[in-house]
Parts: sequence; C-alpha cells; structure tokens
Amino acid sequence: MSLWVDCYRPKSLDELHYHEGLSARLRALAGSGDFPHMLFYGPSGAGKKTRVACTLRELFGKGVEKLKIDQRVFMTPSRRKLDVNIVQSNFHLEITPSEVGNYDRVVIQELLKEIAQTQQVDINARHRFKVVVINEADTLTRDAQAALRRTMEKYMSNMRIILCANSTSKLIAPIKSRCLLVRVAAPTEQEMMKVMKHVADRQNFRIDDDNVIQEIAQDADGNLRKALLVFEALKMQTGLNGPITIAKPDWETYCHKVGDMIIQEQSPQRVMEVRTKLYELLSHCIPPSVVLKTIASHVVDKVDESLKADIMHWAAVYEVRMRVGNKKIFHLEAWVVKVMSLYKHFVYGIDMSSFD
Amino acid sequence: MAFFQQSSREPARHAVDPSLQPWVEKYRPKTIEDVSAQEHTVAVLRRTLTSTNLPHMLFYGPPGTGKTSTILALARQLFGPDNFRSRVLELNASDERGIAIVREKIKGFARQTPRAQVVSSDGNTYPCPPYKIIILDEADSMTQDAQAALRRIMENYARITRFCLVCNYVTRIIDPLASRCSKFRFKPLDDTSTSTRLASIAKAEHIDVPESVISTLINTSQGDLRRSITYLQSASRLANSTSPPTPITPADIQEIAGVVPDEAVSRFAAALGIESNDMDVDGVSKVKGFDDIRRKVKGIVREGYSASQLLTQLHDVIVEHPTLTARQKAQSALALAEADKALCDGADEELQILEVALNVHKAVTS
Amino acid sequence: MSVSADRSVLPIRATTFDGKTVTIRKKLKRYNIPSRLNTREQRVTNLLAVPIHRLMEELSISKATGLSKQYVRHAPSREAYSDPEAPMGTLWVDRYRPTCYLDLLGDDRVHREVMSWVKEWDYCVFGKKGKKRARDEENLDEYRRPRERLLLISGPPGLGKTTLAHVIAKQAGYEVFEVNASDARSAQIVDDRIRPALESGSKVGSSKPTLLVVDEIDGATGGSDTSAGFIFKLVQLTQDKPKKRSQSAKDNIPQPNRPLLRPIICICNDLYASSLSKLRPHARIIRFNRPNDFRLVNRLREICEIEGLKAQSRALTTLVGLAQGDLRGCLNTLQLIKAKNVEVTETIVRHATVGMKEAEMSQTTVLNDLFSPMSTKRAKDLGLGEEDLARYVNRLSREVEASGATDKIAVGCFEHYTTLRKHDANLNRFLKASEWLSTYDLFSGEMRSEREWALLQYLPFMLVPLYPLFQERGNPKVERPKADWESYTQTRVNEEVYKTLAKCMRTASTRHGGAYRHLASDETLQLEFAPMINRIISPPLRPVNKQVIKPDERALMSRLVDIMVAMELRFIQEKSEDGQLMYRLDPPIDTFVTYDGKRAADIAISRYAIRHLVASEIDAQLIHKQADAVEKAKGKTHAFFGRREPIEKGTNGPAASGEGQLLSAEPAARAVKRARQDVTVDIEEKVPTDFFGRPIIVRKDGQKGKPASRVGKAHVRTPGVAYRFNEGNSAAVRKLVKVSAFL
Repeated sequence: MSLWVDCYRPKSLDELHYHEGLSARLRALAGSGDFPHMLFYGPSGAGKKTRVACTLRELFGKGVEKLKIDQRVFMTPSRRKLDVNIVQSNFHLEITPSEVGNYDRVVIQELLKEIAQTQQVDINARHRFKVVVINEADTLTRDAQAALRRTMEKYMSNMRIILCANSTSKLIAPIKSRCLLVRVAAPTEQEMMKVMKHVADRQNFRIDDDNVIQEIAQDADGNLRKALLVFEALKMQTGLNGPITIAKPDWETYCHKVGDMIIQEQSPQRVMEVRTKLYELLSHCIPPSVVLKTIASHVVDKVDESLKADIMHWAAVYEVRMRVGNKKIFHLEAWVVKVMSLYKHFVYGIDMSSFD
Repeated sequence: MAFFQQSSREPARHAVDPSLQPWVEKYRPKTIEDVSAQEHTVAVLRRTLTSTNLPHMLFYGPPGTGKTSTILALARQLFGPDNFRSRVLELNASDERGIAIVREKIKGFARQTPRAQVVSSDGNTYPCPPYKIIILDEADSMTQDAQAALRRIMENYARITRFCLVCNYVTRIIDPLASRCSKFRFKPLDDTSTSTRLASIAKAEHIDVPESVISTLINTSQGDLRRSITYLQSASRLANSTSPPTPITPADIQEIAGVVPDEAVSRFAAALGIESNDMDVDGVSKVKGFDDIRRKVKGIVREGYSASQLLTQLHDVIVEHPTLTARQKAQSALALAEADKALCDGADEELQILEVALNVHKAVTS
Repeated sequence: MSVSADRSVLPIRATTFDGKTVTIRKKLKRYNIPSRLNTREQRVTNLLAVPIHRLMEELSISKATGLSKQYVRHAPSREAYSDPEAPMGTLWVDRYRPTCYLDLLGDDRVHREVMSWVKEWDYCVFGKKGKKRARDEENLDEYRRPRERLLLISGPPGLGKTTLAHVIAKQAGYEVFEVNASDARSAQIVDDRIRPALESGSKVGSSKPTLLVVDEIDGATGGSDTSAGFIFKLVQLTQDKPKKRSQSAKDNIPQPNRPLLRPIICICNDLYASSLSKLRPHARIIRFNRPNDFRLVNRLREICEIEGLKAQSRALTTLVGLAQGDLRGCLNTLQLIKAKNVEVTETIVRHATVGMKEAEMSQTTVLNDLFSPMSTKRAKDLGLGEEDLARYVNRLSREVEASGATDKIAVGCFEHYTTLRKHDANLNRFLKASEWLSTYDLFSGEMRSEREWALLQYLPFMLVPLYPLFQERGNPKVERPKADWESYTQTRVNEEVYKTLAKCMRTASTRHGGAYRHLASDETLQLEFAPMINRIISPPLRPVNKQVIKPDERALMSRLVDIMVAMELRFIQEKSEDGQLMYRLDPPIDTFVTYDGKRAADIAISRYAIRHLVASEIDAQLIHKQADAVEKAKGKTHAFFGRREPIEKGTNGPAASGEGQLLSAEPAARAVKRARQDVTVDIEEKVPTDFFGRPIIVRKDGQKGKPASRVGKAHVRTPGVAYRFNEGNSAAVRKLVKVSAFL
C-alpha cells in the first residue's frame, strides 16, 4: 500500500505500457546472455529507472528485488571520510554519485574495483557478472568518468555497468562509445492517459471525463511520474468528480508570481522585492536554473512577441553564467533587471539600440 | 581460495567466453603490423623491434585510433607472453595515479632491474630487450604534480625503463615531459581502412553487414574505430537476440550511436525555415513565431535526444545546405558555437536548443 | 610582535640591573605602596644608573639640534624612555613605548578602568592586598575575583592596546604571559600552554604572578572549528572551574582542574567579530578610543625633538590626521622620514604616508567607500584635490583588494545597491550594476573551479564600477550584509529536511520492495515529490469522531494512513510556545512547500483534530503491522522472515523519529510494562489533561492526557495479540505473554 506512482510501477518488461519496441529489445538483450554496458538516457520522468529495474529483473529474476542498504565509508586521498549509501541486492548495486559531490571518483574507483574483483558467489545466478547501476550519471565529474572508461573494458567479465542520465551531453565520448545507448523518450499524452486509466482501473474507480486526465497529461509535459503524483493528489483532494484545477507545485506557483511582479512594475523597489522572492525560492532548495527557466517561460507568455526572443536569449545567457559562477542570485537578479529594462523600453518606446 | 586470489590478480584475462568478449578486445591487433592506418608510426616502431632500442614515447590522437593497441602489441612482440607480466606495468585513469602512486609504485617498478629472460614457452623467440615498459594510459588525466614527479624518474631510470604515455590531448601533458618523449601522432582512421577492418570483423563473426550499414558506421563514429566496432557489436547483438534474427539496418546503428535520426533533424531544420530540397517535408508547416519554435523545441527535448548531438547534426545540415547564403550560415554557426560552449559548461539543454533555434530562425528568415 | 620587541628591551634592563629590579618589585609587595609612586622611584634609580656622561651627551646633541630645553626639563622622565642604551637600530615604536602608567597617552578613564579591573584581582593574587578594597567585595566570589574574569580590550590598531595591557600588568606587579597571532591558537594550546602557565601562577625563575595577555584574539580566528575551540576553551577555563572547585573544596583534594586565579586580558580590533561572540558575554569589555589629536601631536613633537627632527606642527597634525590616530603608524612614518630628511614638512609627510592604513580596511568601511564619496575632511587630510578624487579606480580597487574579503564585499554591494534612492527610471544603473556583479561572479567562479588564482587580481575591478554608478553624498550607511547569509542558513535547514525525507524513503524502500528510491533523487524530490506528497496527505477530511465517519471518508482516511505509514511520515505532538498542543509533520515537509510563510491555497488547513485522528490511526496501523509480522514469523517460521525482522527494526529505528515509531527500539519487557501502565497513568510526559478536553475528540481519549502514540496504543488494545510481538534486542525476553498476565 503506497503511492500509486510506486505501487503501479511496472516490475517487469511485460508490464511496461509504452515503448514496446524498446521493451522487446531489452528483453532480447537480457535473454541473449551477451549483455553490454548500457546507458539509458531521456528526459526526467520518462521511465528510465523503471526500465532499468525491469531489465535487471529480466536478467536475474526476482532476486534483484531483495534489497538492502549498505552504508559504506570511503576515504579520500585527503583523508576525508565519505559516507555513501549503497542499495544492493545479490546481483546488482546502485549508487548515486551526486551524493558524494566532488569525490565521486574515489567512490567509483574503489567500488567498481572491488566488485570487479569478486566473483558471483551465488551458484544459481543466471549470469556470472554483477550489474552496477549508476544513477544521475550526468552529474559524474570528469575525473570519475575518466576513471570509468578503462574499468569498463577491463572488468567486462565480472561486471556490467548501467548508466542512467538525463542527457548524454555531459558524458565524455569514451564512455558513450563503450555503452549501448538506450534512448527513453517521454511518453506521449495518449500513452500517459493510458497509464492513468490503468491505474484508475486497478484502484476500482472510473474516470467519467477524459478531459480530466488529458489535462493532467498536458500539464505534466511528458513527465509520467509527475502526472501520477498529480493524479493521486487530485484524487485525494477532490475525488476527481467534476471539473478540476490542477495543482501546480508550490514553487511553480511562486515562480509565476515572481514573473507577474516583473511585468507589473519595473522599478528599483520592485527589483528589491523580486530579490527577496528569489531568495525564498533558492532557500527552498529549488535549483536556480529551474527557477530561471520557470520564471522566463512564464514571463514570455505574457509579453509581446517582439520581446520573447530577447528574454529567452538572456535567460539562456544568464543560465550558463549561473553554472559557472557561485552566487546564483547575482545572475538571477541580473536577468530580472535585464528583463525589466527590456520591457520598460518596449513599453515606453525608447530606442533600444543603445542597450546591447 | 586460490581461485579467488587468482581471479583478483588477473580479472580481465581468464575464462571469458570468447563469444561474450567485447569485439574491441577480441580483435585488438596482436602485432603492430595489424594496426590499421598508422603506417608512419608502425614503420618507426618496427625498426625499434629489430634494434630493440626504444625511446620514451608519447602517443597522442583522438580516441579509437589504436594508441593503446599499438603499445600493447609492441610490448607483446618485444617480450612475449611470459615476460609480459614482469616487464610491463600498465596504469590507466581508473587506477589511482596521484603523486603518491608516482612516487611509490611507478618509481618502485622503474627501479627494478629486469630479470633475465625466461625461455619462451611457446617456442617463439622474442627480442626481449633489457628494459621494462611503463604504460601510462590516459595520461592527460594525470595531475600536474604527478606529471612533474615523473620527470626525474624518467631520466634516472632511462637505462632500464621506458615510458609510454598515451593521451588524447597532448596539450595536457606538461612540456618537460613531452620533450623527453618521441611523439607519435595517431590520426583519425580513414574510411577505407575502417571499412576493411569492419568487414573483416563481420566476416570473422559470420554476420551479414550491408554496405549501407558500414557507411553509416563510419559516419557516426567519425574515425573512431573502437566506436564503430562497439556499435557493430551492439547492433549485431540486437539483431541476433530477436527471433528470427533480423538484418542490421542503418537506423539501428543510428539509434545505438545516439544519433538523432536524419529525419528528425531535417524536420527540425525545416521548421526553423531551412528549406530542404532532397527530403519531402510537406508535413511540416513552417513556424510562425516564438511560441511555435518553443513548442517545437519542447517536442525535441521530450524525445530525449542529446542536445550536443542535435546541434552537431543541425550544424551539418546548415553548413552543407546548398541555398543558404554565407552570411546566414555564418550567423547560424555562431549561434551553434556559443551553444556548444554553453553546453560544455553544463548549461540547460532546453534553453540552449531554444536559443539556437531562435537565432537560426532569425538568421535564416531575415 | 610588539611584545617580543618589548621584551627585548626589558631583558637588557634585567641583565644590567637584575638584582635590583627584583628587590624593587618585592618592595612593591612588601610596602604596599601605590605602585605608581614606586615605579617612579624605580625609574629614577634607572635614570641615575644610566651613565651620566651619556645623558649629557644626549642633552648636548639635543641642544645642538636646536631644540628648546624646556621640554626636556619639563618632562625629565620622558627622556628616559628614549632608552639611550638601545642601539640606533631599534624602532622608534619600541624606543618610545610607554613603560609606566603615567606615560600612557589616550583616555585616562580607559586606563583607570583597566587598572581597576586588574586591581580587583589583587586579593586573589597577592592575598592581603585586597582588604582595603572591601567595598567591592559583594561583586567577588570566594576568591574575590572580579565577576568577569576576562577583560576584552577592543579598538582600532596602533592606539596602544597591547602596550596598555603590558604597562598596566607591569605596574600592578605581574609578569606578562602573552599569546598572540604568531602562536598557534588551537584548543590544544589552552591545555598545553596556557593552563599550566596560569596554574603555576608565575613563570619559572620569576617571583611575579602571571597575567595572560591574548593579543589579536580576533585575528586568526575565522569561526572555524579550531579557533572557535580556542575561544570556547578559554571561556571554559574561566567559567568551568568554580563549579568543579566548589565540589572538590569539601574534599580538599587537589583537583587537576584548578580554578582560574590569574587575570586574562584579551585584545582585539573588531569587537563584533563573529568568533568573539562566545567570549563577549563573559568578558568585561573596554573600548579603546582614539586619543585626542592634540595630545598625539604633542607627543610626536617631543619625540621629534629628542630625535633631532625638525617638525612643523602642521605637518604633525596632518600626520596624525592621516594615520587616524594610529600612533604606531605615525612613529614609523617619522622614523622613515628621519632616515632621509631632517625636517618634517607637510609634503614629506604626505609623500611618506602613501599607502598607509591600507592594510586595515574592514569590510564595512570598504563598502561605505564604494557607495559614498570620500568625506571632505578626509580628502583634505590626504591632500587630494578634485581631480584626484575623480580618479577613484586605483584607490577603490586597492581598498577592495586590501580588505581581503572580496567575496563578502561583492555580496555587500549586491545587497546594498538596490537600497539606494538614486533616481533610476529606466534601470540603466541597475542594468550595469547587475552586469558587473554577474561578471564578477563569473570570474570568481572560474577562478575557484579551475584554480586559476591569477584571476584574483582582476576581481576588485569588477566592483569598483559601482562607485560612479551609485556614489552619492548622504547615501545610507552600509549595513553588514545579512540577507545572503540568512538565505544560506535557511537553505541548509531545508536541505536537512530534504535529506531526512530522502532517508525516510530509502529506508521505506528497503521494506517495501525497494521502489521508493527512484523518488529520492534530489531534483525529483524537490520539484515533484515534495509539493505533491503534501497535497496527497492533506485530503479534505472533516474533523469528526472516528465512529461517525462516513464510508467514503473512511476510505480516504485509511488510504491516507496507509501512505503515511509506508512513507514513514508521522504526526508528532508538540507544544507550541503558547501552550497549545499541535501536531507537527515529521519530517516537516509541509514547511518547505509554503512560501513567504503562507501555505498554498489549494491545500486544506490541516487542523489539530484531523491530525490527531490521523496520528492515532497511524499508530494503530503500525501496531497492527508489527503484530502481523510477528504472527507470520510465528506461523511459518520461515527463515527469511526471521532474519528480516531484526534488520527492519534496525533500519527504521533511527530513521523514524522518536514517539512515532512506538515501541520498536525498546526491549520487550519495557514495552510490555509501558503498555500496561498507560491505561492508568502516563509515565513520562505529563501533559495537562485539559488540553485534551476538546469536544470533538472527547470520547476517544478525553480522560487520558498523553501524547499521540500512547493514545494510539490504547485504541488497539482490543486485539490482545498486540502485546505478544517479539521485539527488542534481547532474545531472552521474547516470549508469549497473555494479556491477562498484566491485568
């Protein structure tokens, strides 16, 4: 008994609702006995981890679902201790390197070597290798990625690596070329609706109005996990009878508010007010680029066509700066001021040429 | 117990079912004569084989051009299988290579006097010159400090130890180190040698690979032989695992290589106002304004294609386009370049694709 | 270092007149003569002991240089401290360092205050002396020590704080034990060096008691662990002792930790340095002010005369003005001038003081300088014309650089520029300012991530452009930037919450087939899961009695409880400040989906009654589950379950917080006992029952005032099996017990 997003998560490849072609391939690969390193990539909420889990199950059977969490301590060269949570079964283990920040290289090196050098003990195991699942592989540092590349070749007999990433852009080429790339595209709206209907079915309630789930699907923007969470929240709150308003996450609502504030008034005062709001958002651990993107896309919806491209352009510019810099708030505010100025000049028809 | 010990000492080499072995390993050149398309380097090294006088070496070049294969093959030819273990130390980025390791492990190994030649078990005679080889693979990921520490070691033990540094970016090797080595540049493989190689592997593996697939492989791997071999293996795996086995198609290769399908790219390009003449894109209506572009970009992002890959391919489409003016191309290329830099810095993909799309659209329509 | 220099002067005396000095000190004690007079005598003896011909020589030199004799006559003692034996190489700063109380310049009141504080120790240190200070005794503890056992002198550099401490210590008959920036200042030092020094009471080979001077206490302490440790230890040294002492006093056993019996003087520049926050409440604080300019000029003039340097008073006034009262700086400058010239004129002074004071820029000063033009007076002092003032880049960039905290200044700039009232209708200034700041951050980010420290030199120039943009006379004073810090701490707090939540879900996932962990990755958790789970767990329930609940609400309720149990979310009862009982969600994920302190409109307010209802349901469910697990284990004796059970307990024990987890971590015996007792009375928490007398829930637990968990337990008492589960660490007590056994 748990959240729908969890309890109706497919456990095996046969249960997957979409990307049948992909499922067939995975099944074939898992069955062939010749399993390569893999790299699953695709947008968030498309079902990468679900597919990884299903593939593992296909490979090893039910045993992969018996999990335990290990706390391991690693020592960095500078003698700092790192505590890492490792989820593992007899056949595989999962790590999320972003937990250890800049020291991921140490963890990767140690852990992989250790696994590579031990044999599968379980005689009944279907495969002699263990699988290491590395989540959020795009957050791996360059060093860690470099450490992976030779390991992947050298220890092929004892270990397979499955990487899971939102995008392959941040992975170095040698890694990409050593993996079988598996792209998991986001589900279409129809597919998402199908899944929601399936959930409703299993929960023994009927959806009278397809518009409801369609709206949810549209809102989720290809993120099935989000769609299901919203779906359940709405069910809890309203029972899903009659028209609904989709609850946006609070941070999103708040970002929209900030966007409105920028458009309503452009003054030093307002800059200050916006700043407090931005601080509030950041202190709620909302990633700054998400903040920027959300506000930008909201602002863009409300301004004149001729401004849109510019606003987006500056959003892109400051987003990059934010990645390089330390003080995210500086860049957020710089963008806010920029947009305000652009807007003001547009509204009052002042010549813009001097502002480039 | 003994089993375990052995396995931990020599994990990669024992008991790999040859059918499961990566083809990259399986078809690694056994002798330097087998190395594809690096005639110059091979010619020089062949001479060292006969004279058994080897300088320190620095191999550099793009990935998948055979650097590691060459040095391994050379070492094997020099020492034979029996001495290989005692005479060659191979360290790569997956090993800890901080300054401490350089000082202890490398120095320790460099210092040892090579043992007398063991009579070869396989009956062949090997030159087995009186020195050891230390191979530092992926040397460009070594820290500056560690590299600096190598300098004296290289000189002090030059009599009994040769170093071979292997790297992608020669600029990342500190000058004092580079100047101590004779440099060998490995150039990207030309298409013919890649295709012969691939064809020979295909033949050895008894798989049927049409010409179109080979050319797709060459295109997607861009001179990286390892990549094309890996792709070929993956593709054949996929093809064989279905029943009945299906032939490999170029589309398979593209999917495996993470390449955005040509069709998707040209649709995207067309949407941005780049006329395409060789493909039928009637289905795509040209975009009207910002919102349309944004929707289009969202769609691409939802498909999960990698942004850098998409931009590279878009770049090809634009630059090779027959009718766009030079100015339009230049402007687009500028936008693409900036976006690529931004992506390297870790920028958000959606924003960058959108940025490029807007700029290209502006450039092309104006 | 001033002290070491000082000591280098002292030993000279000591070697020359060793025996004599000691006897004089003893006299000090014996005769109990006010030390002031005494030292004067001592000084006189010293003076006489100086070979007279040398004195005469000096006099003649000074005459030759054309100084008026009257100063020499007026202040004969002054001449003495131009220690004639000191080689010409000594710094003037050392040569003219005051050696007795009367020589001190500056505010007499401050000096007296310090002196009287030191004197308060007299009873404790010297014994009988304190008697005549009987009127102070109500302030004193058993050792008649001052209430604050630390003295903290603060003030800008160069005014003579260290000198003051030394002079007064000497005057009062102490030997100074100094710890300054040159010593490592870790907590260990307190134990290794300071404590022994203080406890032994006096230095080896010296009969005088020790007085500890901790110089530059704010200096190297950046609030890091070790330095905070130093201050903490220091405070502990002064505070902890009396308590321990009072215990051991009865036994008369010499304790290793003896009470602090020696005074400690701490010296700092920045009284409000964050590292000192722990020290301040325990110390008597004395602020050192800038001495009167006039007196400084006089002193300088005397020195000039002694040194044979012709000085215009205007030049000296300028010097003092430039140095902002920093006497040490003045003396150094003068000595420098002396090396080249024989005359001190204004131009020379100006020339010599270029760059003076630059190393001592506090953050706030720099910020103020960035946002408002230089005051006319200061400009005049520095002799800057309009033109020079207009050339601000060099000056300001150097200031920023000298402050050494470019990052903090950037944050300060960022925080401050929006508060300025300058008219900026089209946001041009803001545009430029934010652009500069963003560039600044770009550089500093690059510098840090790539370790390109060469970029450091460019950083100050990114902040200077704010000056032409915003400088204006009468701009509000810059405050210490705090918003950024506040946001940072808030972020930390929230991050902690996320981490707990993630941990909860990870542990939950081990129990439920390992599925939640895919939700526990950072971004998903923050962006999708946290806002939604809040909605999911706050359905529109009506606060009604459990018995009269409608079936559909019943379903909703059980679903809610299921989810919360599975996700390891709990309601924990707490008392708010005003005594109201309330249920807090734990981990408190509901706090961070609210912004600006307001909750989202579409989330129903979770009322006390509802939460109470849910909390009790959760507990009931938990007990059921545990009972089930035990039943299963009993029934099947399946090895897997047997093994699994303890693991579960082990993992969820620490994760689930306190009460919510019920009995899980407790030994069975205790659990059983508690279960029996809570029918009648609650053992641990005594919550007034009247808070529970709410009409809505009265039937449920009106008479039992106890926290939710207990209440829950009481509910499920009906299935007797609830008490039969095997629990806890010891297998010995795991056995079946019939409920009747307790009744």
